[in-house]
Amino acid sequence: MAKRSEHPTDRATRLGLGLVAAAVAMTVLAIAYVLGSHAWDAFRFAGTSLATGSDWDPVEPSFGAWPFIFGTLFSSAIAIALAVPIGFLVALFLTELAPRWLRSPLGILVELLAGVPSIVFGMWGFFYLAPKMHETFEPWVLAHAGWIPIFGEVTPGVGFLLAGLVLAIMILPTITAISRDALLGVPRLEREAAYALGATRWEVARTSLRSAKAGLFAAATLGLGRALGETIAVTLVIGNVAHSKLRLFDQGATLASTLANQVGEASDPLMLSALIALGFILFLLTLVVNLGARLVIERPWRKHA
Amino acid sequence: MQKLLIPIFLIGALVLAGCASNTPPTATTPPSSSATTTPAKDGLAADLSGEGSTFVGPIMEKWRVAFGNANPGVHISYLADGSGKGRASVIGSRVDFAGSDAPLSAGEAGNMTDALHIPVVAGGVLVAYNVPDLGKTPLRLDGAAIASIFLGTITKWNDPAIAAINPGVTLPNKDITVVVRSDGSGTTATFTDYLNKVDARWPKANGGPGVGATVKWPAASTTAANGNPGVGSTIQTTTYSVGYIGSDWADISALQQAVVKNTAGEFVEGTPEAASAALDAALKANAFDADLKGSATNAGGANSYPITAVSWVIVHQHQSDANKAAALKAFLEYILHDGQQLSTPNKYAPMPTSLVTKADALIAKIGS
Amino acid sequence: MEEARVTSLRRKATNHAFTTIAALALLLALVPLVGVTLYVLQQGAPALSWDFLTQVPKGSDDPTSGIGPALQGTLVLTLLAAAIGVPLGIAAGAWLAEHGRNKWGDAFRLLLDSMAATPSIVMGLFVFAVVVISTGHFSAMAGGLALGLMVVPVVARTTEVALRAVPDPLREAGIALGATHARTLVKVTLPAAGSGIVTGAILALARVAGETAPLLFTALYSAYWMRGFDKPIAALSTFIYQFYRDPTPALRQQAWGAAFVLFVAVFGANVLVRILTHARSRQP
Repeated sequence: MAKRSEHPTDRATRLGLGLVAAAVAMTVLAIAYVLGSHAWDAFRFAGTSLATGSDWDPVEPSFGAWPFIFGTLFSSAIAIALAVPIGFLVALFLTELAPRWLRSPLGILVELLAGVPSIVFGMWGFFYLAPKMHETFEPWVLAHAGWIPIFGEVTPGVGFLLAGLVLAIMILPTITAISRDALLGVPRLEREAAYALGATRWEVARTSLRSAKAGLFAAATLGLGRALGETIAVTLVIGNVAHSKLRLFDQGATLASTLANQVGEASDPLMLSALIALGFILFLLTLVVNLGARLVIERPWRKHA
Repeated sequence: MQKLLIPIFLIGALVLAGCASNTPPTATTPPSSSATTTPAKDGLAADLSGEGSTFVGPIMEKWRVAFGNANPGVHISYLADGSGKGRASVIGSRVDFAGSDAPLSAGEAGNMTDALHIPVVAGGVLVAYNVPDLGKTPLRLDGAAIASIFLGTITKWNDPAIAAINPGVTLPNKDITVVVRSDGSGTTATFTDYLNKVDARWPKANGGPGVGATVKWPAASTTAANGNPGVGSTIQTTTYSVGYIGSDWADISALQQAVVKNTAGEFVEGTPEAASAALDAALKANAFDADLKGSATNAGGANSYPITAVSWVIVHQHQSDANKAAALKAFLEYILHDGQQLSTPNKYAPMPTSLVTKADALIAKIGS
Repeated sequence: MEEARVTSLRRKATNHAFTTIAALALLLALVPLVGVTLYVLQQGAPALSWDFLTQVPKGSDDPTSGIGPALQGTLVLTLLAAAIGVPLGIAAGAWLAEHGRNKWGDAFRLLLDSMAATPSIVMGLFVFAVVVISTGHFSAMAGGLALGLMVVPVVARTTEVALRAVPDPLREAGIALGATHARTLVKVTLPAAGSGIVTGAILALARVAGETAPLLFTALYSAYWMRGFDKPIAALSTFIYQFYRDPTPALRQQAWGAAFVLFVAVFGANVLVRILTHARSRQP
């Protein structure tokens, strides 16, 4: 196609939108910069052991955040493992299987979960779910499958599994709603053609999933983002003990929960710097995780969305 | 899109209406448990905001309501989100007063040279446990035993060290689960301050956890919970557990409480009266300096509870706004006099008279 | 023919399995919803009354004590967050969808995803460092800004997804009629993506309405009706945070009541916005 000159309105719009995008990008970089500069003292004090060490002792002082990094990744992985399949399936249900009149109300019902305040999830998790885990579920699992190491050996109730579960519930509406929007974007013609060729609902759903790949990826990424950064709900249900073994029932701690727990009482400048460093490490972590996810799924924007 | 304008106007109106109708809280008939009203100082009018200690939080809420009822022109708000935050905010003059479980540190004091520390409440940090076998008889513990439990060197309830202090009591052969705070807390600071004084293994210099709002707990079988209610709830649902909890909370959870041995050799329960006695004794022993900073842990006296916490309100002596200065003074005067009647019913220890006199002198300085 | 029947049976079986599993997934998703709603209702319903919604907090002994200022505060803060975050988010998302299929877009998308993963407390610390410290006081404006920044990445990404989902023929029709790309974007593509964009905005705003941590560093708290955008302001989330662990049962109940009000308010707003913007699920 021959290159035509751009209409002035188009140029103005493109530049205008680009300006906003640039401003937002700069804000993100500003956040990273402010975090980094306040965390600098802690990094100078502890060096790389801030991220690799396991000894978090503000009195010593010694700041090793590895258990928190581990906890962030572990609890988020559990959350994603639960919420992504369920979210995609529910989205498929809402777009392919549910009777037409039911789709909107069901969709709103799932989105209702998005309106529950984080702190309420934490309270529900701690006062209602944790005792059930502690008294019923965890002992039962250990009695029947305790030889599998991933379960661990203790039954405190709060811990990685509960945190992952609560996170999964919290990110489910995001993943479902955005996946549903992505699936709605699959061209009608494609689906009708598939049905015309005699495909079953499942087979049509499969092609829709493939077509909506970029949008589904966005849904999962936003869900993951929320899980990685969730603060208050996790604080109440993860136990906040610095463990770093791959055991579902163990208590743990995340970067965000530790920051939230200790910042209110911290007055020593070095400790405050170390807490901000946790935020900075989390920021870097999300960059790495998101980059990794992209490499695995390949450049989503190349495929037709 | 035009359809959105109507609701936007409606919501905007609601918001503005709220701004406009900022009538002072109507003075309803004071409920029976609030303090008798101080004669309202005519013309007091100011907005005061405070931040800090969660230990003071519950009673601060009662004080501000009672004082506000008597002085409708004064609006006091308080956010209980941590002593450290409160101190930082008052240093930067972003709030008018801070509630704090600890005085300003040396570094902080350097940034706030005109700080006044007004002690307002005290309370016991209780050692609560869940051992059904013991029933109603309180377990006796001393500093060394408590330290050993939280250091992890005592791991069973029927350890000889515990049995030695509790003659005639049958202790179960069960593992101890230690419950600690997962969030930074003034309660932790007081508890570790006490252990630091009574056991040579505790100080950081000797390889122990040391003193702080957040410490690293060495005991292997440790569970952490968020906030006093979290600790209380965890102890309640975990048999054979033990933890430390602020006095205003333990009653609610109906937890078993230990009686702790003080320096006079008596085993004392953590009642408000025992905390007051500790504070009195600490003052007499000059544990508080002229600025009223100090610690009431491990105080002498037969009736003293050894793990007693004190909380202060920290304010600037120099005030730029005369109205705020007047309101602050009146509020603090109320807290230290009529307001103290609210202490004991809410499981806090009232300030002894000797301390009130000294604190009054400090309050008089505000605004000068 | 035998072969065809066997294959047909296998495909039918897979299809049935899929339908069942998807329905189960839906039930699984609804179970916690019911659980949490019932729990909040049970804990908070006893506190509800007209006074509760319209009066200022008066402590635990006064039965007319209420959460009026907190309700007002949450409304104001959420509107501020919307005013700041939604337009910026839509613009950023539009850029990504229309001009972002290149490595610049990739980089920006990566930054946005990190922004979306920033813990709310960190966003609060950022605005604290940049706004609160320099102005010297806590303010509703700072709170709204912190929440608004949390809204931007979610709205941007969902706008991008929604715009991409608009079928190309629609865009082409606009161009064919002689409209510029810009005009097509505003008149055709954005409205067509409306439902998805609204979804994203609602999700983001519903979440920030319930956030506590950022407000502790920006908007602080107030026990009174809003004094001004440059003053501290109440919020339902900070009220809950402050009183859910109070020793007095009456105050804890008020905290749960506030949680219930917040929940209902968000749901109500959700339904209201959908009705007003005529957002229906697009017929596939």
